[in-house]
Amino acid sequence: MTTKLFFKTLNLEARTTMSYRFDFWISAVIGFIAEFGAVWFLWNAVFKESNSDVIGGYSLSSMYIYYLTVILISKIVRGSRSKNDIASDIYQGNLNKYLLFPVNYILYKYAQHLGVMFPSFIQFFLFGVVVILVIDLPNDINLSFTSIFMALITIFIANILYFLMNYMLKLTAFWIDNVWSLDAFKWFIVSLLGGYMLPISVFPKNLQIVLNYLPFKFLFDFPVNTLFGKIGVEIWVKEIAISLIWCLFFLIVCRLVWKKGRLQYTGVGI
Amino acid sequence: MKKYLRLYAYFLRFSFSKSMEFRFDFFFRILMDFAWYGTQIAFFSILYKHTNLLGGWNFDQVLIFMGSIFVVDAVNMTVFSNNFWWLPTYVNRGELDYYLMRPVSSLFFLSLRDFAANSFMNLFFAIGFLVWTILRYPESFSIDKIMLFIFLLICGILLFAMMGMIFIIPVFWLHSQKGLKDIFSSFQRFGNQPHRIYSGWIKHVLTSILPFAFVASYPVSILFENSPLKAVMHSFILVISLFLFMRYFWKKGLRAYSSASS
Repeated sequence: MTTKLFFKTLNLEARTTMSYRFDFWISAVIGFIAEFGAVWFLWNAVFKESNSDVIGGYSLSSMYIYYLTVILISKIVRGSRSKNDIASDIYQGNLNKYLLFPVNYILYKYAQHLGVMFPSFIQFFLFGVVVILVIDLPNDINLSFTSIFMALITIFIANILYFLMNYMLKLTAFWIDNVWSLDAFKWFIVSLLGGYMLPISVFPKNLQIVLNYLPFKFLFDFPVNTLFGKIGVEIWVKEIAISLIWCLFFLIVCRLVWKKGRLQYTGVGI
Repeated sequence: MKKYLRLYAYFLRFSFSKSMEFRFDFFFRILMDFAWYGTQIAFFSILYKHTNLLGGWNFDQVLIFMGSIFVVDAVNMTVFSNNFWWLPTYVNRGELDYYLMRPVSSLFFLSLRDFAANSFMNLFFAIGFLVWTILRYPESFSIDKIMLFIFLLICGILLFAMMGMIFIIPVFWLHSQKGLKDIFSSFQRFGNQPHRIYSGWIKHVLTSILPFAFVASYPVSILFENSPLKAVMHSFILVISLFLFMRYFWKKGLRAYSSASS
């Protein structure tokens, strides 16, 4: 697949996503405020009723910033749902053309994924700038150019990892009739174990050890802590290497499932 | 009324036979809901490792609250969610004509036609979990309180469904993919937490315009309070008001609808 085609696909998908502009921006702004509002009240109550100043290494104000950041980062890591996802291609027989076209299917889908995500990328920067300008950062958050640079790389890898997990799961559409519930299942697991619902440092210690061996923390908790300057460069390099190994693992599994699944495919309309 | 009950029986029969076609989906729906129940229980269990009370409730009380949330969600997933999912598609494609031509209320038909038989099993689990959390509670509850709790929870289920519909109806004007369903899902988080953690104007919003606090939190709180009548009246008035508003809003929406064939 040529670079030109990759960016053309990305561009087309971004423009399609932006076609529902009102719905998109209203949902984004109100959704962001509502989601943050709910956790604001929750953690306010937890800190007040526990009489604690620090929980899981976070003060109340840094806990707020954690959630603001994780909500924003998740927009880029997850992207939005595309109408042209792999499962739809399989169910509707659209896969026929991709089997004939001289394009790498997984790369084509990743270009579409980035395109759908593009408006979320704008939201990330707009809301991110507002957050940085409006809110005084607490002392335990050390935002620097190095941490921002490291975080951007981490978020990019998290995006690839999430895409590959998603891709692997959607390929099961070769065998099963509806992948919607599996998709929701994945999100429930990932949001809890990846640090979206709660920072991992809040989990019981033995569970934290188990989570260290799983790929989920690389999606949300690790990028946020990298941005906050809580990860040293040496540890960061090691963790990035591990996250890349997870990406490779999912890529290999995806290829194997794709090979098997293609044999199951009965192209509608052939 | 008899006509509507007979019609609903046909909906059920059709939905059960349809769900048998997709057996994997039947299994995965159960798996998905169990994952949701599991993450919610884990979430509150972890929070309670750091505090003994949340919104004045201990963990046993929050477990009853979670059971109530699961029941509301299971009823919604079984009875309403499929219908709400497809409604924006019908409106955007101009395919409502078929439903508007029927000699029954279009709102009734489009809200209840598709019963998700594949979510039905989860309803049993959710009810079972709620009963278990009530039975394991260290103190027993009087029959009066249990009856009031059930009444308020039914009101909560209706409020949740009507709010869901109210957020989808704007699709008649917006022609977006899901109406304002994503905004509804974001607000829903307020209802999944005990209402006593909220203060100020948001507390008033959650008990009036967007009564998420009355979906499960208030019903559970009457089990632990001595004067529940005010909450019962409040909930009942909310159900009536929201129903009247939803019907009015639906009629307004239909006026903005343009068919694909006309």
